[in-house]
Amino acid sequence: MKALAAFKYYEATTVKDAVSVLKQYPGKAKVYAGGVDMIDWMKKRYMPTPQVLVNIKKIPGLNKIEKQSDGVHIGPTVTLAQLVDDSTIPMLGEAAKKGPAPNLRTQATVGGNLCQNVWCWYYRWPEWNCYRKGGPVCFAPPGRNAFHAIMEQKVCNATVPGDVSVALAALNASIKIEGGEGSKTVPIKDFFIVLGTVLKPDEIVTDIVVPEVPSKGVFLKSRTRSAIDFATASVALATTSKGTTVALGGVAPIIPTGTPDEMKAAVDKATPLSENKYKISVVKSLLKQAGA
Amino acid sequence: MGTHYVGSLDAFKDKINAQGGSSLRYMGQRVPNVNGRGIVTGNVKYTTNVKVPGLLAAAFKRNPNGRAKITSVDTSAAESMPGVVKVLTGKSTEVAGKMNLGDEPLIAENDVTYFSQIVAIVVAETIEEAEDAVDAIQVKYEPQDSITDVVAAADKNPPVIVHTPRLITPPFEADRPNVINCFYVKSGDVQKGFADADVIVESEFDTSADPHGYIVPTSAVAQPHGDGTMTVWGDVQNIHPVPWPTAAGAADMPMDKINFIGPEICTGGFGGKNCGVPGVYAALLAKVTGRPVRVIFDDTRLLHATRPWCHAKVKAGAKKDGSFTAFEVTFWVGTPYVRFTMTVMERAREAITCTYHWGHRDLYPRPNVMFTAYDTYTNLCSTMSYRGFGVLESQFPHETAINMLADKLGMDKVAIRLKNITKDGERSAQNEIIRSVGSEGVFNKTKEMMDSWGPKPSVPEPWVVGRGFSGANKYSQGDMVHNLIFLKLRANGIVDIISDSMDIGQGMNTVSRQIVAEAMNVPIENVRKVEVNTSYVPWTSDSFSSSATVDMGGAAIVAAKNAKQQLFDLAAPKLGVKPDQLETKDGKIMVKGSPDKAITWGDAMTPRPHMVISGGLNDPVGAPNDYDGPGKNDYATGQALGPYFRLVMHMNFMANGCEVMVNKETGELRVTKFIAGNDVLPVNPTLCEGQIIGGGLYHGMANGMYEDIYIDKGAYLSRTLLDWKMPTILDYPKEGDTHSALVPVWGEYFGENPRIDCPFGGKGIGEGVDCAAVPCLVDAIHDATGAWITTSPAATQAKILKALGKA
Repeated sequence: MKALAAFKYYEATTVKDAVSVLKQYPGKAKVYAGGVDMIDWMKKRYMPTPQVLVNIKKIPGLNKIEKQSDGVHIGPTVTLAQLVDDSTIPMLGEAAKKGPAPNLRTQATVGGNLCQNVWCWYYRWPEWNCYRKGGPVCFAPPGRNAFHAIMEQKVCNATVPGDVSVALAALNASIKIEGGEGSKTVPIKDFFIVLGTVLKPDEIVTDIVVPEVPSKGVFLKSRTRSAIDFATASVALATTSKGTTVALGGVAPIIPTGTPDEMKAAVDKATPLSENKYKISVVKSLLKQAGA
Repeated sequence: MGTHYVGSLDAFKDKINAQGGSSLRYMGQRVPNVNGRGIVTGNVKYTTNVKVPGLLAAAFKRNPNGRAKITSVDTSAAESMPGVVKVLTGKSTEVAGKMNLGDEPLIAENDVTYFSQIVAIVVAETIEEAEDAVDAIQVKYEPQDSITDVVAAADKNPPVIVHTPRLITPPFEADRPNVINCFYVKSGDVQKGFADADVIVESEFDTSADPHGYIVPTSAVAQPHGDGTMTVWGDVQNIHPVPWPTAAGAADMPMDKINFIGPEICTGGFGGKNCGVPGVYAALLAKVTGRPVRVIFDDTRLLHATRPWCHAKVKAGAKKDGSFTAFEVTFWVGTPYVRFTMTVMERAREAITCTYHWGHRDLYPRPNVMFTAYDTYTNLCSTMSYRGFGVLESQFPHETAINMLADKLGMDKVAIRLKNITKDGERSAQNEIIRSVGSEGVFNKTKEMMDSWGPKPSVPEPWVVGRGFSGANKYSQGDMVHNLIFLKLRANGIVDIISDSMDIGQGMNTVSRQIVAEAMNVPIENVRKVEVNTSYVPWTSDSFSSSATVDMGGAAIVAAKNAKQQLFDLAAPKLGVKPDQLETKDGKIMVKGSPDKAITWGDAMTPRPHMVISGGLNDPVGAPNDYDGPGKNDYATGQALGPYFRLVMHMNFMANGCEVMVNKETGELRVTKFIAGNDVLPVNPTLCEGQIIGGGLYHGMANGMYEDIYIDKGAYLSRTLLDWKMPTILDYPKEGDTHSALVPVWGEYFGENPRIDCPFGGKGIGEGVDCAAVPCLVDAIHDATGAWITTSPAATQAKILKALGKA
């Protein structure tokens, strides 16, 4: 195991404080919360070590789950263990439970779940200079792609890894972001873009708002091993006064979200790679089981 | 807990006593593992705990491609980094011309053959500094086409020739440029057998390369003493046959200038720690730097050695009544350097030829078997022995072919096997005389336990339930040449075992104490075992091939007999009787029938405080004996030759039954019930059950479940435990649904002239416990879904759904 390479560490006390440090080191500072993903990747040199880590866990108020008039607010440093214990929206707890093992859930945060790196081997292994890393092509289509995307592929075939993120997508959450140019709110369906998220280097997720507690909420995940594994495919379904929304995980570089019919039609039009056609059967089974 | 059946050992008591036993005082008893407390409290001497002053650390620059040419290696930046003591490349004079295990350069110089091959080494004050310096080494490669298809590699015109010039040329089929060696069995008349068959199945199977999956990486520490001698501590399964000479070779030192020390317990081996490769590099680097060096293969724990990739093409025939008529199989196995792959194919033959008569005895004079195997250079990952050379690779296709035949004939899977099993004393298709056959008892007991499960449970759609059965066998190659032990008897009745028999988690530290306590009739607390150290322990047995119990036990029984004789010779005049009137118990020597007429061992040996007695199957050295072997076989036909008609030491016969749940839409699989039966007279039933459930169920099933390896252009992609999916405890049956059945059978060597008993009738089971698991699992998936999966691993979601036509 390698030691962490040297970096500066900054403990932010306010969001403004954190943003100013991010701005001071453009593109060379990273937000640090649970660290589950980031520290592992830094130790293994899957990613270049940032010059500065900005810890946002000490910023007051970011680690709460609160019901307010405009919906349920979930702070970005709320841990997955908190989600499991919180009964406000059970499908979020279900998604958290099916994510990492219990010890990691006490560290992993909701913000981290939204922002974590993709778990594509071509992206991780340094000798494969893939498109996502700035190289010319994605190696998955002609290569080994059993765990890659079957839809919405454009230039990258890695899938969004976070389970809680998929549940939040079905809940039509909106993501509040603050950065050097002020604050904005992005619907979660627009948060993920093909090569990551809409976050700019000096921006931080400050709040996640679920507009309505669903009358029916389901999160289903299929994975190879019972205890740990990223989703082969997952389906989240939430019914509110505005209708039913379905989100699909493990199948695309974004989180496909829409009505049950839209999602079923999207799966029918899937474009699997050479080794992952089986995912179509998996996701269809989950859709059926979810009652979509 | 599930059911743990242990048949009665009473019938064997007299035979055990005739070998010097003490009426099952410790033999067959559930003695707690002597290292149990140490293991759970972290107080066992592992190799990774070795600390010496000034210890340096080594890190390795490895090839990230498949096959490639090395165009340049620039170490200049690394050499000036903090803490760096030495940087070696393939061009360094210290490694020039040095090979490990015959044909693999210690550091690649101009070409790399496989992913993760070593191209440079950094030694530094700390492991972190060494790792950082490795990152600073710039290696330029010219990647070349890799060959990973083992069948194409063996072709007469292969797309890639792996080694030019050719490293090894086999005696036959020298026109296949990548072929290292070939193995054959030609017995009976295969063509007639197939012509006679009412049913024939033909299929092709793949057994993927698989890492061993030990949690603790293999490691070593080497300490030079400044006087031309060196101590090497290695996390190895045995010290004498390979780790010691290879370490000496790498350091350019005579073996006897190196003192090789094993751990108190090797931290999981499964064959992967047979060679102690880190010891080779630790010794080299300690010699080069003049300082102690630690080597841990941490970054490559899933890569440094795997079971070789194997493809098998099988044809099997049977009559309508289930009588077998013929079996034909061709194997291809791939490896970048030889390592032990020749033994893989050599031993695969026993697996095919020993359990059943392919050519029923009522129909044919000899079994009809044709076996051909090609051991072939490829650009697949580095290989190593893996829990039964060639056994899974051959048992999976072999036993699955039988299940396919049973399915076609509509026959019970146990009945078709019982109809064709080889019986005690019969000759196999290799003309080997088979002894100590427990197949019938084990098959029947396993079936009886499966029947007690009752009807299959109903499960919600789209889940389906299936049950599978498989037989299997596992040879013990043993070491029938080196076999010597010392027992140090102390005046106070304590016995020290001086032997190299290594505990690799199988419980050898406990088993060896039990055998000696039984043989010397002393409390087990009074039996101890010294550190495994080449400076004073003799070569007794190697902890490989499930042979240590028989090898070590055989030596211990002889040594104990010698020890008792010496004690009685000393005590007889003091007690005024003849030596043959004496017996011993609890450190006392007494006249038979008059327990009050007794003196202690101390009284007998006074004024000496202790005495050291040797014994073994080949002791005294040079004495004529019947253990030399294994015997020879004819190369072209594989037929065993006299006088021994013995190719292996003995064999363990087993059966597995399991129940699985398969989701027909998601391809998910859960193993819900499992039974493992073994024919063994257990030295310690608890340890055997631990091997079967903990070691066998988990390891064996894991081979067949999800542990797929992903390779792209010769480069391995599945390098972490998230990519290479070793099952977790939640993927296995609950504790109450795992069962073992020990069906005691008196252990006996194969062959004759004369017949040889195993010590106290015991046989090793370590490797055999898991090799029926994959065919059993595949059979259960077939029972659940109607689909035969012919790859191991078999149960990834992709493979199950593909077999069901959904991918």
